[in-house]
Parts: sequence; structure tokens; C-alpha cells
Amino acid sequence: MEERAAREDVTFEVEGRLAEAVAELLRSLESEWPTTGPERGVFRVAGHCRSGTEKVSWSVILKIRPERASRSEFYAYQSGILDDLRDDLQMPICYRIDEQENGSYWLWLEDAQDDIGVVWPVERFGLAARHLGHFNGQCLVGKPLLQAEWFGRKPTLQWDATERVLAQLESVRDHLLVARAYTPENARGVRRLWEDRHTLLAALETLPTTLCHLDAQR
Amino acid sequence: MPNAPDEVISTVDRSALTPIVRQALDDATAEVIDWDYHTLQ
Repeated sequence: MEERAAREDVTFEVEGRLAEAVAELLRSLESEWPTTGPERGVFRVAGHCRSGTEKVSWSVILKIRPERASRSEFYAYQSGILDDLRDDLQMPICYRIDEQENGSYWLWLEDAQDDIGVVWPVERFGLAARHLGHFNGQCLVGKPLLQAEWFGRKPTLQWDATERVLAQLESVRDHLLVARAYTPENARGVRRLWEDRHTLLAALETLPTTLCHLDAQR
Repeated sequence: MPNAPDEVISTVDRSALTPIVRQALDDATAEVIDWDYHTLQ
């Protein structure tokens, strides 16, 4: 029993240190790369409603984007350009877009949920990657390339922001959390990639253009 | 215009939510009873 209690104490201590480390890291990055704050955020709004004689649950996602943010998502929904996606890759339904006086916009979206839960097995990530690959590559095999003025172009060839991120990453390399993922070997790889960027970008320019999501994450 | 996320959400009222919830449920007569929110990001 004592041994178990001791193990639990250690677990709590480790979890506590990790939580503190996360908070410290977020504080250090927040000023330059805010993830929350004025006029931005993603919220699940949920409740009940009366439907006939029944009381039913509902939930929707409210995504608030500030004026300075990219408006790609706004245009993607407003234009309907992606309405004809394949069945294996779908956008959440957009119920309404509210443009605010201060330039920010609110997207009221379907609360899309899967049957797997929070933790996906590797195989499910593989399937998602395949679906995204289909989307990214479809115009290379017969389907016309979608075009819109609001599409971004990558690479942007504006590397100031990337350079700042890399410098910032170096400055927190010894941080408990960063060190776990950004190992010396990874750091060498990133530096090598950065040094070769002009050669790689020149090669990229010779390839066919395609439409990519570029912001898929979980 | 409110700034903090909590202030922003507090401006959402039943009349704003009702048409959205009706679409979500595909029920043109649904009446919102209550709601809450939590931050995802």
C-alpha cells in the first residue's frame, strides 16, 4: 500500500511539473503567438431545446476569428467552392457566418464528432492522411484545379515569420517539454532543412500546382 | 465590442441561437431552453 501511495505521489509530482511546464511555455509564447485572447477562440456551445413535446440536446461550434486572421475559412464557406468534396472528406456544415463591426467574423459550425473518441489509433491517422492525399492530389489526375482569388499560395517566400519561430524554438530548446520533442538530432535536421530551403523551394516551383488544406491537425 | 472570450460569448442570446439550433436539428420549430459553452481553443 505504501509503495502504491509513493508511486501515486511521484505521478502527481510529474503531472504537476508537466502542467507547470506547459503553463510556463505557453506564457512565454503567448505574447508573440497568441492562441487565445481578444476576438478569437473556438467554443462548443451546447444546451437543450424543446422539439414538439420532447426535450432534446444540441451542440454547435462557434469559431471566432479576428480581423487580422486569414479569411480563407470565411471565403471557403461563403463561396461554397468546396461543397463538392468527396464523401470521405467533408467540411463541417456552416450554419451561419456573422461579420462583426470590428472586422472579426464568427462561424457557427456543425459539432462534427467521430465514433473513435479523443485518442485515435495510428491506423486512423493513416486513413485521414490518405483522404487528405486524395484531396490534395485530385487535380493532378483529371479534376480541374480549383481557383479563387482568396487562396493563399505556399510557399509564400516570406520567411521572416519562420525565421522568428526557429529562433524562438532555439531559445526554449532546454525547456522540459520542448526538449522531449526537439531533440538535438531533430534540431540538426531542422537546421539542415532551413539551410537547404532555397534549393528545395526552387525544386518546388517546378512541380505542378495543387490545392492543399495545409492546416490539418489533431 | 467585447474583448475577452467570456464577454464575447455573453453577447449570444436565445434569439441568436434559435435559428442556428433549428438548422442543426433540422427542426423549424425547436425552441432553445438553455445553453452553456466551454472553450476548445
